[in-house]
Amino acid sequence: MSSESISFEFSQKLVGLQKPLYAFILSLVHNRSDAEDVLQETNLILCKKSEEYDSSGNFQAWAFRIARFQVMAHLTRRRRSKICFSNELVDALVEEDFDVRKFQLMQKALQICFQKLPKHLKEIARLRFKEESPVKIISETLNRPVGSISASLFRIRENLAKCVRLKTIQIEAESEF
Amino acid sequence: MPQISDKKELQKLVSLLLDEMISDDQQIRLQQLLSASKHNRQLYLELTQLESLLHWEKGSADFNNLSDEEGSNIISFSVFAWFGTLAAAFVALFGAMWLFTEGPLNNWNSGTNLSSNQFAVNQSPPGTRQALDNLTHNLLESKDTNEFNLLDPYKISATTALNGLSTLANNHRKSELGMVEHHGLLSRWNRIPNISTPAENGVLPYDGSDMIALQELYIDVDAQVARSIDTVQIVDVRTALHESKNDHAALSASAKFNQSFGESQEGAEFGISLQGFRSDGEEFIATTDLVYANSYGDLDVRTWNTLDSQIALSQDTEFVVVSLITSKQGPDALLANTCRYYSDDFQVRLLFNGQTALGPI
Repeated sequence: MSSESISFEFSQKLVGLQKPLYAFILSLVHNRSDAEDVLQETNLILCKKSEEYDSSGNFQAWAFRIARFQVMAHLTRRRRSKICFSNELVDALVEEDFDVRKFQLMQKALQICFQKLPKHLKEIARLRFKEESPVKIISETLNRPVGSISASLFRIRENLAKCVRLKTIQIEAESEF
Repeated sequence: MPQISDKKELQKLVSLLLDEMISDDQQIRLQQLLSASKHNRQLYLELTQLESLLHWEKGSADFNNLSDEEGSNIISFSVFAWFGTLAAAFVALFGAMWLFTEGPLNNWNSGTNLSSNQFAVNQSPPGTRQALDNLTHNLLESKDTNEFNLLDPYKISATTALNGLSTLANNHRKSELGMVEHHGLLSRWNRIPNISTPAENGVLPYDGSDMIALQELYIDVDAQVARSIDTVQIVDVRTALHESKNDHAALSASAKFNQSFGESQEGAEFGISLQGFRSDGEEFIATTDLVYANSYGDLDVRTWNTLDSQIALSQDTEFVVVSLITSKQGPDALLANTCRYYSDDFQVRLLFNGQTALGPI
């Protein structure tokens, strides 16, 4: 395969689907670096199979189907050593609709909601999500117990989820208005 | 729809999963919850999608804009940001003296003085806890503006410290708030017996039958800060330093901290502050910078967190004020007083040239 064999339209669709694909993969493998690996593998397969793609078809459904195969292959390789869900549960999660539009609204809402986090939680969020520091390292950096950092991360996620839920509705309503 | 308790549990388990801190049992429970309900699966997917956005290119959320809180309608940090700078070094106890003296706040450290003339506080009736409550009440009633609410614990602790300093300086045996004890070359004004309690709220004393019940935290709702300062002892080092001549003197203090069960999701920050003073007529002049040591507690009532602090004493130091501080920040601060906070195993030592010379007492 060469880069010339991929159409501009195909590459645009693939680029536009990167975040949803990553989210979908992360929901099944739970681990960021694993999710990044699977995303790379998925992108590679999608590019290899680009000629098989019917441009009138549903690109998202096709890409997610391939991502799913890659996730299953990854889980099979890692099953003995990593935290995994059962095949039945993975199937059930895959069956859930992935609403790309809602996901994009979530992204906008998150930008607003993140600013509303208290400063001390933002610092923990920065260390965890930007610096990708493990909880134990954050604990040592901030001289706080691991349990306390873990509880703070739970609160960060809980607060953000609550806020994003409300903001998503608000943004959607404004866009419809 | 998932039950609220299920939802909370699911969110906690997902958070642990994403932080790679989930145990085998918790993972089994998570699988049960996800297998049991479509709503649970949808909530799980929502949480993992949010997580992916937080990670993705690290650009979906503005991590760098940590100081800019403008535009937030939910949380205002104007006071908190101002306080945070000071709190880093812990302005603490005697920063409040700005309210009572003519010195500006940013000069508090070297220029702190305490003057009984500048207080108008009803110090009766006797009975220590009651007296402190009255002091607290009177001081809180006299708060100047909303911005100064944050300093109220300082007012209280400063008043308490002044009471102890005056007692020692005037060679009295006791005051409304504490008793004077003599331990060889060291004397101290001690409040601990008056603020001690037996086991309560599921917390057992670390040692013996009593522990220090720290004050309820003063909550500043707007700033989302909660804090209490308990001035527990004032150590009179006049005789000891006089005897020591030119030795390098230091005072160390240690204590253990704990908190009861409550709605609070995070352990409190505990601290010990130390500062030296000398008397000058009716005023007390700071002879050292304030030293503050802190650590974060956990939510386990069975464990006590140990904290040590030490201060080098200048030769003109006569008294060392020792305070225990409890604080919380952020939304959890609003729930601070659903817990009670305790200290135990409080000890002070006087050191000469790095070696313990007197104590622990």
